[in-house]
Amino acid sequence: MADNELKSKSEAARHFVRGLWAENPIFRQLLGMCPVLAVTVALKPALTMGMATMFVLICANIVVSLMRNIIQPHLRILMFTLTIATFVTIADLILKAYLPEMSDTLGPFVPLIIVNCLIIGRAEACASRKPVGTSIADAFGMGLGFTFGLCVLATVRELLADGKLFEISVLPSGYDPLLVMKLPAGAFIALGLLLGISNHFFNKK
Amino acid sequence: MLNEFMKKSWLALVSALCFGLLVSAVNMALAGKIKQNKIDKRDGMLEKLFGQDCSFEGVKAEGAAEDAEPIYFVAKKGGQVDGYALIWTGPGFAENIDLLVGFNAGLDMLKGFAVMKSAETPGFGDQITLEDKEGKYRPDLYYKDRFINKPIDKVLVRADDNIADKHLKDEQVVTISGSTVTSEAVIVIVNGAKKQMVKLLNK
Repeated sequence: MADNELKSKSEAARHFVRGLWAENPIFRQLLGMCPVLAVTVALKPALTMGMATMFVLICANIVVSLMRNIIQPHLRILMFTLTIATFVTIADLILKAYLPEMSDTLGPFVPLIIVNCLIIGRAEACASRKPVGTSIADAFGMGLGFTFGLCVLATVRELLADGKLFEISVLPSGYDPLLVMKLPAGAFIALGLLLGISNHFFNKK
Repeated sequence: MLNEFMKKSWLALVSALCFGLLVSAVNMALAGKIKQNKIDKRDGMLEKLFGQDCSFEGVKAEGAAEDAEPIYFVAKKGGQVDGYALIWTGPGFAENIDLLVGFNAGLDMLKGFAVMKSAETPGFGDQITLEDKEGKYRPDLYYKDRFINKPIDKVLVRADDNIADKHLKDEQVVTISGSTVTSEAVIVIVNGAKKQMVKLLNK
């Protein structure tokens, strides 16, 4: 009994750590590229998107894990989508109520969390097979890894595009902003460079 | 057949009902706050256009429901009408742009506009939202300021590129370099708002 508990705890910890780096959704799995490219113009929207995605991921993983023994195979994708859509709608309403400016900034990208393949992917790969504890740890790890990836990309872009971080100037006033970093082209360039750097470190291992 | 259907899909039906109730409950709990946020945002923009010493009165369409949105706003200062404003929408470069367009009390000049909603390109089209932090009038820097005191009886048009300021006619507006589509979209929306405001007040 104690062995089982220990095994379950170590499995949860393993799932949590994997999402942070070894299986990071952005740098290792290239999941959820739509928000990654679209909302990383600045740190604030990137952080908000990361938190909203993590909220949906955790709630969806809990519900899917609780239902895993009664979901019939033919209903699997339908049930995942229904669950995810519910929590995305709730996240959208919460943002509109408590962070209205950020909700306006993120625009359609909050409802689009529904089609973020990271969430449906974790529901399929982890929550539908593992107990609740492991599913929550997995969602936390993946959510934090996703938020970390968004924030790293947003830091590079905001710094180069405006010389700012969290809208506070950090580079000298003479800094000539790289406007391209605000545009989709800048998002692709920054993401490509960061993927190159992360691959370099992984290959070294 | 019904038994077979229920056996195969009871979980989807029960979940849909439960999730529907959950979303409805959250919506009921937050709807008031979301509506108030929208009103606060609109009122803040009306204050920016007309000044904090003005009070605002929303005018609803004839026979409109009690909770209907006003079709235009009357700004009053010391009991006297100081101007009018209405929200007008039109297509931008990315998606629709919602502008709150203000007019003076005589309905012959623009007070300017405030951007209620836009998703224009960062660094280019989104310059329509920029303004001086201390509220100074800087038409050389800010697109918004180029609309202040423009005449209402003339249709606003885009000024030719590189036109010198001294040759600029009243109805001409210098666009933002690199975002002609957004600049022109704003001109079209403001023209639409002018037409509508005149129509509403002449009724």
